[in-house]
Amino acid sequence: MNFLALAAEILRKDLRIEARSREGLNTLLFFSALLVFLFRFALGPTEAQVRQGAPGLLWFAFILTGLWGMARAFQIERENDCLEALRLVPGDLGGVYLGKVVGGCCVMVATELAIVVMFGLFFHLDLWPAGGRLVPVLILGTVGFVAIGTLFAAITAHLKAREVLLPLLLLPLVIPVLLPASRLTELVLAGESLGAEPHWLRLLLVFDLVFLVLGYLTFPFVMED
Amino acid sequence: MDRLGVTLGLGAGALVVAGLWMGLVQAPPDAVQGEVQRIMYLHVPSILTAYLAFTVVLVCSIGYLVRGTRGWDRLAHASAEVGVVFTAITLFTGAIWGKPTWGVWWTWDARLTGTAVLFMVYLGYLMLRSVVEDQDRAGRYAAVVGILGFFDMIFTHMAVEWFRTLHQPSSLQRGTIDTALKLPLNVNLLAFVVLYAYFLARRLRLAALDEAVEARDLGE
Amino acid sequence: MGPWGYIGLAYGLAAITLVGYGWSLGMRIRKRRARLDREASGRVGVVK
Repeated sequence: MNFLALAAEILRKDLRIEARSREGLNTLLFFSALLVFLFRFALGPTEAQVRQGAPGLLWFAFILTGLWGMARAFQIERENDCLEALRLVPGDLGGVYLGKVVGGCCVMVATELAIVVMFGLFFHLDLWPAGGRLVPVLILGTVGFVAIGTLFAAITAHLKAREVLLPLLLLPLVIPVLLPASRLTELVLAGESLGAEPHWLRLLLVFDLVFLVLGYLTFPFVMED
Repeated sequence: MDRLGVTLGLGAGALVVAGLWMGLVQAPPDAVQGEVQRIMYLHVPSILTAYLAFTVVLVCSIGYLVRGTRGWDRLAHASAEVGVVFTAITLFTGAIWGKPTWGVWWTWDARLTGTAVLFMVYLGYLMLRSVVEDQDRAGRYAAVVGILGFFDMIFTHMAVEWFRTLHQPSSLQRGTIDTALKLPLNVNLLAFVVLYAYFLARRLRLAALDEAVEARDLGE
Repeated sequence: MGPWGYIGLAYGLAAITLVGYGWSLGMRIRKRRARLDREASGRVGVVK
């Protein structure tokens, strides 16, 4: 099967599973709402504090839900030994990687948008002026996170200690992606344009691209058995 | 002990003694920082050696994925372990140097933070290896971390550089370092690199014995 | 703490780390070798 067709097939399959199963996106949304409420209690009654820390808090929430989403992407493959079947897919395993990354990004960005909306609602952030510019920032940050996350979710899916090991391996590695992403979020929320600090945008783009290429190249070795 | 190990061990020992003498006695105190600056002869060589170690991990990880022979993997694993030791030294000497110069043991300075991230990445590498029983599989997984980790090292460095930093720009990069300090620094760097090679040789010896034990167990 | 106190602390801790690591490598090598020797002499699994 051709590389892109394979990726599209994997993506279609994952999204269909996501759409049909109740526990996936629904629990993620519930969890996100819970997080937003927790921030309120953790930071006290002054909204100014929350608003000031908004970019950091947002990315913190994205990471927590993202970790969960990543782990899930390969847990659904473990059931009924689907991992075995994925390994035997005809054609380039890199296609499986690409499909998984795009699928992971879709789920994560959807969750992120929900979190942002709830954040705006509960903490009276005026999101409309930032909205259009916020979405590309979210997508770019998420691509980097998912590019590495998919790889490590695939690695840890086999292991007994996966719940501990996934965040342990993933979090230090995604720091270079999170730094520019949260900085750009801060800029956008402050009403600036993306071009205000173009080096951050460039940095994020380069990181995304490099991690995607590295993931594509190494993924077949992770799946090999 | 094998001959290579003995040679490297003796060489490292002699160089370390020479480095200590040059760093602690022969080198003049720094014009600005005074005596405390002598910690540099420990701090800078150890981080440079750690960078070397993690570069070796990258090369050997690629080598293992391409070739699939155990030797590459053993070398990558050994180098990562030794690299973590040198990174740990960098971290605490940095903290100890930071206290008298900046007034605090830990600060969210760019380079210090970057080194801490590096430490965590390769600690994760070693942890991953320790939980996967099958050596070939552990090698493949670890190689992925080894490759990503290297790029992460560079990227974290780039990303944190943009934040305001307390750190003095690296004296080596600025090229402002005085020649009276340069020679002791180079001698110490050489001592650390030979020490790294010595540890690497010993660690490889251990890995070979490990595999012999494993092969014997399977044969029984 | 004076400057030499900090220097002593840094060099001391580094020495402990390096010697400790070298020592742990030596011990691990010794243990493996002893095990191989024991097994080679045919006393595998014998508990004395």
